[in-house]
Amino acid sequence: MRRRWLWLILFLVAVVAGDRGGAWLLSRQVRDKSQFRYSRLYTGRARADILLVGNSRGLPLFQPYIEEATGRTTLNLSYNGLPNYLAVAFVLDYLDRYPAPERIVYDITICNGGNPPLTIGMGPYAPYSARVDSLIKAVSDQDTTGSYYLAWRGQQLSHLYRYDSEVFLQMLYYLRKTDKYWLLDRVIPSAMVEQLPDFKPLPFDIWPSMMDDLRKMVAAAKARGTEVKFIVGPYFPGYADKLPNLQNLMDTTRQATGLPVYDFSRAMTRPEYFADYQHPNLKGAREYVRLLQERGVLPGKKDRKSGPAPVSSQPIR
Amino acid sequence: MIFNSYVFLKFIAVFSVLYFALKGRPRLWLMFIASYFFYGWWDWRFLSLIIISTAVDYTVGIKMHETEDRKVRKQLLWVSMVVNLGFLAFFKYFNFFIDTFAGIAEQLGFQPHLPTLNIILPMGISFYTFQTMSYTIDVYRRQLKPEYDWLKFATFVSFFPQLVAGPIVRASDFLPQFQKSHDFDWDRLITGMGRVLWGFFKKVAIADSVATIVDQVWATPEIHSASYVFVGVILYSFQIYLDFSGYSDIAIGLARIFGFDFPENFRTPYFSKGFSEFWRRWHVSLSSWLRDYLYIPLGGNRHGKFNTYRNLMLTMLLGGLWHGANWTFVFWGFLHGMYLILERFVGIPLSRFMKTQVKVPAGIWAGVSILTVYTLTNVAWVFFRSQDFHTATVIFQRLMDWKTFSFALVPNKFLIVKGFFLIFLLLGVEIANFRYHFIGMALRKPAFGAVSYATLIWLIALFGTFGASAFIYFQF
Repeated sequence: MRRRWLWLILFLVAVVAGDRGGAWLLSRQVRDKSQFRYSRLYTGRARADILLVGNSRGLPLFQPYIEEATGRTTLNLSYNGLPNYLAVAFVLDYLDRYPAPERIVYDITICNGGNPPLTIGMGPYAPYSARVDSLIKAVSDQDTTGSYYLAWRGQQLSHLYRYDSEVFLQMLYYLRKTDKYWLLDRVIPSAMVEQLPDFKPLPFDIWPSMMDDLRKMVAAAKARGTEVKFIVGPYFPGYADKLPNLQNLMDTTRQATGLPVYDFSRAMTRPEYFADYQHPNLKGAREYVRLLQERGVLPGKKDRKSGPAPVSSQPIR
Repeated sequence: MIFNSYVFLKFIAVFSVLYFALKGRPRLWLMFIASYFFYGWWDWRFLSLIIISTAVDYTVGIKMHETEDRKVRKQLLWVSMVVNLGFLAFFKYFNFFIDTFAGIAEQLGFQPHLPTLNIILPMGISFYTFQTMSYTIDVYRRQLKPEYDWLKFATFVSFFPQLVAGPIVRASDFLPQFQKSHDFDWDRLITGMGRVLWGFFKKVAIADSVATIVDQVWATPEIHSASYVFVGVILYSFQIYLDFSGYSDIAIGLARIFGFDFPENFRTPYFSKGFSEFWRRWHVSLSSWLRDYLYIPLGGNRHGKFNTYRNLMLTMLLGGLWHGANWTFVFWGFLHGMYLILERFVGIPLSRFMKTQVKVPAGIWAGVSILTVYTLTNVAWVFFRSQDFHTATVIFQRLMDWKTFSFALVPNKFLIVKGFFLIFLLLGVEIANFRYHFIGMALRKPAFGAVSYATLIWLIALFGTFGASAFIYFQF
């Protein structure tokens, strides 16, 4: 009987010790050393002249092309399905931790509802950011089905569980390589082009809280002398016409923030520029950067020799 | 209620405490009530089907035993068959038959305007129907004495670990186990817990993770590259295996903790060197059921080659239809029937020739055989997974588009790498288990057991998908 109790104690100790030890190891060896954007953001390795923000439609704001065209360093905070509230939290965290960037380019089509799984998946960064932590808590509190509440409770119970997300896999993937080149390098399949007439995209959810977040971000940026440029990135030809309230989204953003919205939704007309309906590919990204610069969203080329040393190479704190 | 849900955790905690606190008849009552509660949690209305099935088979079993009149016994068997298969036919196949009939009628130029009903498929109906049918058939054959204790019989039909997705436990295996004491047994707890954790790892960490890729591929196969569709097909073969065998592991493990032994349902089927072997390793409780209650009564392999092939094909066609009311399932069964026939017709002589005449080393030939069986199984899985033949055709068309067979055209690489990493880990453990018998080792070396179970919990915490998604075989 005594041996059984010993076994039970050994088992429970192994479970807890392995959980805490494993999570500690992952935080030190993966989260804090990864080249993934949010790992760099929260460990003082992300200083940049231009912040690029969006959901997956922010990824075609392709850093290598932009850096080449502008002569400035960039940090792309975009992520697949990134909700507005998380994007704003990342920007505000950046502004709190780094010298003010020159410009923030923000694709407002990000304003499309929440993304509880991704928010919960940002758990590994919660110890670094009170904003991310409170957003995870808020998502779990608002959960009517209970599954996100349980996920949040699970993260309190198991520290390894905080790493149970796609975000962790991204950290691993970019452990020893830069994430600057993250972009779809393919051309939209012909079958998808043929299906466009029948495709019915969902309307944008435009919530008052989204506009409050944007207002907060603009005020914080202005206070630091950072310019904010709102944009709507390019869609596959004909797709933007199907979006029922795109114009409403642009008007609402303009009214809420007092800033113009640069509309590129119909700016690219060649199918080979797109990976699918919503995402320019590598080829399209080059053209996109040209258009952004032409409209003044991105600054002109800065002569690196005459300016300060590239900020991303400078140590922070 | 499903195993991978929070409510089940609470349910099993309460059940376990009460189960070991009670003894004798009160414990039996607990098993019965808990099983009905487990099923009723999903939809209490369908408990009526289980109640009717139970009542009919309980009565029929006793009446059949008590009469010597062959005609009466046959009539009683018919009553049981009609009730059980009637429920199955109505709830599972009514619309299928109507649609098929209407389709044929339209082909012949008629406009039949037949009604279709909005019928909910009762969870696990195919499993418990086959389970109770095995009881009445065995009693009819006088291979089994009827159970006079209605509570034991009702618990046999509804016992919650295997009620909704098997293994299909025969009455001859289950009912005698009521005679045992089922007191708390530490060794059973340890081995059962290991089995449950292993099942959860298969289901939650692997099957549900790769489901995202598989669902994407099958939702719009026409827009994906050959490489992505290929990955989707491979992952589906593991999703269905791990989802279903994971459920079986949990069921077997839970039963073990409570003192019951369920038969094995999977024995590393993708290592099969032939299709006969595959069906001795895949969903064993169903394939042995079909063998004993369909294939052998049809004549088995006793009446010449042609009749053997016919019996094989009929068994597999019905096995396909058992899975679902769709012609794609029937075709899946047809393909497996063809595989079994071709194996006897070509495969076995070819194997003999390669080994004796060409002198191909046994290891290499075994590898070739395993790969061939796995590939052909995947061809059949494409139909099994597809909603219709058009989708299956598009999948094969995309696979033939060699120009798009490129790693660069594979999205979701993270999830795919994660999926394959875990699959290789699992296969490694399964292979190693042949030699080391981990469950036995967990008993002999308690520290090994504690650490390996803890490792499973860490892996589930790190890689699990916790959406409480239902098991694939619930729909069957």
